[in-house]
Amino acid sequence: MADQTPPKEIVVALKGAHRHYTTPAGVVRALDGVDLEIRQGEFAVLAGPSGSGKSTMLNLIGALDQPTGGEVYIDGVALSSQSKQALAALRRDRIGFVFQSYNLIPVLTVLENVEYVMLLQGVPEATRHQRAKAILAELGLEGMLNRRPVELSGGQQQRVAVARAVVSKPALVLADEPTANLDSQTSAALMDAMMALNQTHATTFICSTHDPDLMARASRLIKLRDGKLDDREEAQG
Amino acid sequence: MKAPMTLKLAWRNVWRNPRRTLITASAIGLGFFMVFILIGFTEGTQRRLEATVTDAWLASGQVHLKGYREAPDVDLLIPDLAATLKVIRATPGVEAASPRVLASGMISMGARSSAVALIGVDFSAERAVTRWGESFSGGDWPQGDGGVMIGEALAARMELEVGGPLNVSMADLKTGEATSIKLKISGLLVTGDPLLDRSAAILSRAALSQGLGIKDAAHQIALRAAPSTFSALKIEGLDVADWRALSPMLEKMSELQAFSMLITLGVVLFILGLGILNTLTMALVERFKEFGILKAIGTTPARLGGLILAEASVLSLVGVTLGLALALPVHWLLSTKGLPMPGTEYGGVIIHRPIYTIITPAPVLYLALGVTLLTLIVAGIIAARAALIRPVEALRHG
Ligand SMILES: Nc1ncnc2c1ncn2[C@@H]1O[C@H](COP(=O)(O)OP(=O)(O)O)[C@@H](O)[C@H]1O
Ligand SMILES: [Mg+2]
Repeated sequence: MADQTPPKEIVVALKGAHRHYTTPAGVVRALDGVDLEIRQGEFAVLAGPSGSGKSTMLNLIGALDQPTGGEVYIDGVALSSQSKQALAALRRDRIGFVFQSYNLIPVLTVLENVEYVMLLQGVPEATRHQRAKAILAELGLEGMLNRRPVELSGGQQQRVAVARAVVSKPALVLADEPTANLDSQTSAALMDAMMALNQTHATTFICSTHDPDLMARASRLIKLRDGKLDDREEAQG
Repeated sequence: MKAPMTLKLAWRNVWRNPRRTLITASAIGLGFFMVFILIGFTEGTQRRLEATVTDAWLASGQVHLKGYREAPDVDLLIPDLAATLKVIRATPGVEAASPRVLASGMISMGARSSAVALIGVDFSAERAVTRWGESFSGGDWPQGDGGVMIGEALAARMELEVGGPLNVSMADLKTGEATSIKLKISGLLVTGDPLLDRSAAILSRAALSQGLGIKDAAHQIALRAAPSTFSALKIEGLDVADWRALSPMLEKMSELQAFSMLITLGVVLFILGLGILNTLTMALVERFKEFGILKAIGTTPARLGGLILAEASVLSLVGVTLGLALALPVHWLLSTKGLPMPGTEYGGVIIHRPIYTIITPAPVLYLALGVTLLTLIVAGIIAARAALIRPVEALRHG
């Protein structure tokens, strides 16, 4: 199987991916043999109860963690073949992250937070400003450029996080339960915003949630249970 | 454009907990202040000590007949004094030279008497070499061969006063017969040198020579000269030594002082280092998740290390600025007004005149280097720990 490198339009591919943790209580099979392909431009919702392995899977895809078995491919490249530096560069250049909460840098303003990754990439200042402002405007945050994260509501903070994740035009955005700390109305609005970005920029999204309302709106639903795909219920997209 | 961002981040991060930052910075500032003033004092004491000995008895240096210093004998006279003095005075770097005749003798007044060192000098020549004139507690230099100066301490012990008579007796060099001359006390000295202040009588070289039965001779020539002169000054049969060589103990003292200053510097820096380390460790623990996110979105360990170094530097800089703000005015005060020294003893030398703090580049450079090195070490420790943070762990436990 390992010789079958996935075609380029497959942004993410998991082949027999395992992630087992050895704990004093025994082996935890957080991810237990997952085969999955995500195509360029898809908006995939990763669903499953708490502890089903959603974060584990997103961490593997985001090159933050390594599988104990199987392989993860990004843009057709096997992550296990890459050096630490290459993985850091991959995260910086190809992947955008949105985490559950409090994932903005508190001492930076909204604009600076969004510019930060571009700064790491060495994007010139003028371009940084212009791109960050444009994406913040797209997310309805044009009036908050110079605010600090603490001055924003939870929903606004997550919008800034989404702006930061997409601003450098990554191939893939990974959002791990971005609405977990938001009320249902704000959650739906954030989801709409991400879906709109998916449409207008053709950015691939994988977004985990355990909110049934959000699952219902997914064009592609990936269900996880006990570290395995729940194939019967996967919607077609 | 990358460095300003790191600095901006560092500056803001440092002020996230202003109370803690101020406490740490104050500690750094206080330590810096203490070391700075200590440096000023060490140098100032050193200079005062030097001035005390070179202004009083030792002068910048002395010339003797070879062997005199090891075993002072009244017979060991410098030959051909006039010619020798001519050569010495013509040597570049030599400002002044004063021939001295040295002998032991007695002074007495009424029933009171005391064994003393007799020092015969040419008053005008001696005034150009030493600064006894600045240390009279009463009276002045003798006007002619009939005058004598003694230390204030000796005068007090023998209940003598300026203007009073004094009998000075000595033994004729050839016959061994005792001679006695009657002189008038012209001045009382407080030089800080125990020899001069407690057990010497200074009279004219002519008078002492006459009493000893010698003619135009000297046991010693005291010099006021630049330090570099002494190694260049070589005269056949004579022993030329600067004050450091003449008083190895003082030399040792100053070495010891420099050493103890270095120790203090080290201890203060070490304590400061622990303070910064503690502050940054607390910040590291609090910001575990934040560092994890920074790494997750592509910040390299090197860049994170750069941020931590910048934060440590900001902390040290704020501290050093506070320290300087405190140290400079105090140093200014102490370097102009001085710290009064009411007869404090340093290795046998008694300092009567104030000590002025002096700041020279070398120790300040050490201090700056020390603070910089310390900041680097502490930042390195924290950066190494931050490099080990795994984003997955940080996100899970945040
Ligand atoms: N570092 C770890 N050590 C041990 N067990 C872990 C670790 N990380 C996750 N797990 C376990 O793996 C399983 C899946 O966790 P996770 O991927 O976080 O689930 P989800 O995100 O769907 O809630 C859980 O049982 C969790 O306790
Ligand atoms: Mg999770």
